[in-house]
Amino acid sequence: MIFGFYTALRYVQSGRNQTILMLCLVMVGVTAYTFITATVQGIQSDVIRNSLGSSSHVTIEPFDDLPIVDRTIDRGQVLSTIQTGQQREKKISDWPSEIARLGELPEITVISPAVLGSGFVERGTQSRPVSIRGGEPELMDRIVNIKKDLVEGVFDLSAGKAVIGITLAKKLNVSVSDRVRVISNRGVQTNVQIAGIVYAGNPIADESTIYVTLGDAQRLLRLDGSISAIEVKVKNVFDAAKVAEILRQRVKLKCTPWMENNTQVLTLISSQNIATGVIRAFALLSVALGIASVLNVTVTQKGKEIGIIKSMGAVQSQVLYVFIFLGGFIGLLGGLAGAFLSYVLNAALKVVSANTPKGAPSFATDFQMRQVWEAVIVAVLVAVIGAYIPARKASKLDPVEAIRGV
Amino acid sequence: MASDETLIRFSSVSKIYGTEVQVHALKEVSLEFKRGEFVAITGPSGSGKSTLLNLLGALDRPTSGTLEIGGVRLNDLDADGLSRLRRIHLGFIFQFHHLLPDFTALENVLVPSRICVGVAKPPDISEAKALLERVGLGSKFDSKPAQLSGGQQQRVAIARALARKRSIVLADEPTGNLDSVSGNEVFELMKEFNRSEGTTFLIVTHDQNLARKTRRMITVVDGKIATDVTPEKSVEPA
Repeated sequence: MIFGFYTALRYVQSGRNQTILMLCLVMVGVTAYTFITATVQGIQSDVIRNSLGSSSHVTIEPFDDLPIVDRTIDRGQVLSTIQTGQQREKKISDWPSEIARLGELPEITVISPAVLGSGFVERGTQSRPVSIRGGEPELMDRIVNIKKDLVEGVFDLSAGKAVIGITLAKKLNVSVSDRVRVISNRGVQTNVQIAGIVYAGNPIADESTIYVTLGDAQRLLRLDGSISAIEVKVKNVFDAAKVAEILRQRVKLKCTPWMENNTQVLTLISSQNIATGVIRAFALLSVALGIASVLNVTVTQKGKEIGIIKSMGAVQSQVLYVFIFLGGFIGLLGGLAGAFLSYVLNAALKVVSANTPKGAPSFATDFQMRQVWEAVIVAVLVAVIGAYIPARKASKLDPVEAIRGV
Repeated sequence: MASDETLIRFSSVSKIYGTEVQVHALKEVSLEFKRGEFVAITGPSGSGKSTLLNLLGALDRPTSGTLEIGGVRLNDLDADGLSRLRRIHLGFIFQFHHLLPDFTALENVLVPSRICVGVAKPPDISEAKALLERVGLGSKFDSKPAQLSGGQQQRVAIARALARKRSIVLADEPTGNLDSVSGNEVFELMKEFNRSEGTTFLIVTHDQNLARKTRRMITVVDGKIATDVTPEKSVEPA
């Protein structure tokens, strides 16, 4: 194996044109692999952030009230249709006990009481429909990321203060410190001062959400100390269904994971995953085939040298290792070059597309070092696999025929 | 000088190529080579010299008969077995030197060592340097083959063939590609190593003048040993 390592190293150093050709092949393949992975993950993060960034991963709320149908009539069947009609305002009265019953799970990052309702925000003659979202400031922030997304003002949700979405602020023509009137669908109204303006990236949230304290929201929606829902966030969004299932065993409330209300998001993500997998597989296949074809030529060119090495006593496995290591070196060097190129490409695109209100890039990529190492390891493996067939051919060469160039 | 220890033994060895159209390259050849011999093998083109050389070099196996090198029967060895036998006993000098072009002179001489040793034991660099100094290339350790003359390349090939103190060196037209001065120098080097180290040299050559300078001359004709002449006696095989 030492002989194979040493000889392969010399071949990398000496075979300039072929080495450069193979390095370019791997570099392009790894760049495509890493870049497509970063882009798709960025898009998915963006989709998840936009869809779930301003909402909980598991929502716990009372079950819908349904009329009870009497099916106990003698002889015969009762055919019935349940018409739900207008539901009463659902509320959880003893919510501290319910939150205590939920307990702890390693997957859960935050549990937050929430008051959710609707109404209008008015400023002068302007009036806009809004979702009223009330909560305990620190817990609510961990559900909807207000602090992180603030573009103006401060995150101050004390009584009588509010934070509103950026589009809503523009449409009402208000800024920080201005006062607006909030009128709930229960007919209660109050004046609040705008403490901050937030850009969540979700058009609906940015256009129609007002964040207030739990107490203000309870008053606006006449909930008398009750809450509308308990919101739960989990570490990995895809664990939400599993967590919801566990929580259903703990409380007699409806536990809904985000997937049930966002099937389109799930379909989009799974479609992207399949498409990405296919593109990455073809990129890697191209690399493997490219390396195999270039090394095949190398084996033919170096046939005489292989014959000489075998005449000096090299066994088949030693010759095999020469080309396996050669593939490995090319994979490693090309992989590192490709990872570097994709890093530069990603950084450049971030700079070029930094045009959102917060100065963040509108081109979504999620470039992580873990992906880089994964790509380099995959490149080495693919290059070694690509090198295997030419290596096997070299190892089987008859030294007599190889030396004579038959 | 040759000892009584037999290194290579051919017993009624035949080599047939092809299946439908058979070519009898060697026919019932019986030969012995002892340690320290300095032998020339001659014969016209197509006489079976190359086949004999391939068998002597454990590059091929006989179709019939028995061939032993260093006490090991070649007939029973697979390709890797033949390789292991070569790495222990056999060194090669080719007409066109066949040095590895990407390696320096020193690295070329180190190749047999690198093939044999593992992590625990590094290749014997001092032996390789000493060999290159003995063939007059003490100042060319770092030269690539392309930077050396034909004669110098062949000297590197001699040093490589002798690395790891292998007991048998097979030389295929070692002076065939050199001018007469370089050819003589290479031949004298081989003779000197034969005298000082006791290495067995088996030289395939067309050059009758060179062949006459050896201590044993074998002529192959039509796949048979036509003559096997030594200073002491001349043998006419049946």
